Amino acid sequence: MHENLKYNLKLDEGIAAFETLNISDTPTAEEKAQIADWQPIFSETNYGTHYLIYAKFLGKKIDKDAFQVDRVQLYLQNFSGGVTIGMTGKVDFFQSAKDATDPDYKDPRYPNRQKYKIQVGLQGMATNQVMDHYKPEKEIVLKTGDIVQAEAFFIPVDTGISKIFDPDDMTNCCFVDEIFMERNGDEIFVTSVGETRLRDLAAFERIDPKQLGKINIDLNKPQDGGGGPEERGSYHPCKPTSAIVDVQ
Amino acid sequence: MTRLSLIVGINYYRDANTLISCLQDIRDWKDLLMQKFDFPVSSIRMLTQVKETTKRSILDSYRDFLSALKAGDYGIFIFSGHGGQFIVDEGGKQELVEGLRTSDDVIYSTEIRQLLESHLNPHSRLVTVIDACHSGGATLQGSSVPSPWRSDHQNHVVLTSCRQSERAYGDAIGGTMRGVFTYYLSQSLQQSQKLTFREFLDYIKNHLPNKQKGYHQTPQFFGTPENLDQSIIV
Repeated sequence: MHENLKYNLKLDEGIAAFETLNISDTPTAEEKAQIADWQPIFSETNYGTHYLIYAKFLGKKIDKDAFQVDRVQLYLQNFSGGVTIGMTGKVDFFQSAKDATDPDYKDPRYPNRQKYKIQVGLQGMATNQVMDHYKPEKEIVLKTGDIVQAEAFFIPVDTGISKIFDPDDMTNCCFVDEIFMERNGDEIFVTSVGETRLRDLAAFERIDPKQLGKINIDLNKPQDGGGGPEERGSYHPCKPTSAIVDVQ
Repeated sequence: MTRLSLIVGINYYRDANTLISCLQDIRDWKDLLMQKFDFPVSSIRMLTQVKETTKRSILDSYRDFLSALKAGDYGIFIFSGHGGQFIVDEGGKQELVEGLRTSDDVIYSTEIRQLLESHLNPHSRLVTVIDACHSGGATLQGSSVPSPWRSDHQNHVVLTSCRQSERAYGDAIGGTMRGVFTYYLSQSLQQSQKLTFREFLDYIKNHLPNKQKGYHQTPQFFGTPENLDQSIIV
């Protein structure tokens, strides 16, 4: 059975915005409200580090089961592993098309369910744990039963460390960025999957497209293959990345 | 007679996984049309970059493309990318429609049909080639739609890479990722400039579907019996 287990995302006007990490050792009631009410929306392991992203969706209730989101705050916590993962500050939050093959649209309890995606930029060896004051570009109203699906997109770690865009010096890299690169003995190179990811990042200007030229990747030219057949349709893997909205 | 082409290939999507085979399809089509069929470069419009392949940009280009086709002209519209079946609300009722993913959204077959009805000159000739999953059409609980991409005009023919229930595939062919259906179609056109739809359908039966290679796709033809003996490209 395909069942993508989900978090619960309670939307409540009473949830207090998070203002500062400098909470006192004996927090006041206001400070407690700030650090409380973070709700998980995403869990993953990258670079051997297990981390969760928590969120606060702030706004106002406009109907008994509808909540207008004015602001989103995100908090990334690394739980285990040697590489600290942080947020880049880039977030995209939008309504997704209703793909009929997506099992989430087959829940008889919510025949009018909508799905929203929140895409969060992440980076290894980065320390920014809080993403504050993010305002959606378009007005978003979440209703009870809707789904917020979080997705992470990684940009390369500090390129001075990985030397990912410095092919003449790549063998001197101190950190093989495993999302894009691979080590094979003395040889360190950008993988085919890594190239696809870099192309995707550059296409959406999540990294500077000019950087790809340094490693002879031309966005206008097709990519060599070798990865086996690819399907020209969506798939929906079970991952701990979706939350069901519950308007309070 | 003027000949025009609009070619859309999308590898990068905000709301779907990245593909790597579609840009090569576009390159293959451009080479084929220019070198084999002598299309002037000015008659070929290609949309491949993220900003060019948004829903708005593609629909605007498609409208311009259709509007430019006068009586006696020939046009070919080609799409390589993600396809899907989508649920849309139509007056409070949920409908299942075919869609083509753009870099930012989805173009629904209903939107394409509206443009065809309002802008396609019935005395022009239009060929549509779609290499995408589920491109054979969508159905809602058994109600069949002949082809969501085809207008009612006699001179509009649609070739799709698979049935409504199937997926379409890209694979490494000749060292480069490309659409399997597009590859076979362009190969057969390379061999015969006057290839008819009937000849292509006879040819493709021997190549697709190909269970051994995992290509579970059955190309589809939508047109009139008279269309079968017309050349795919003039």
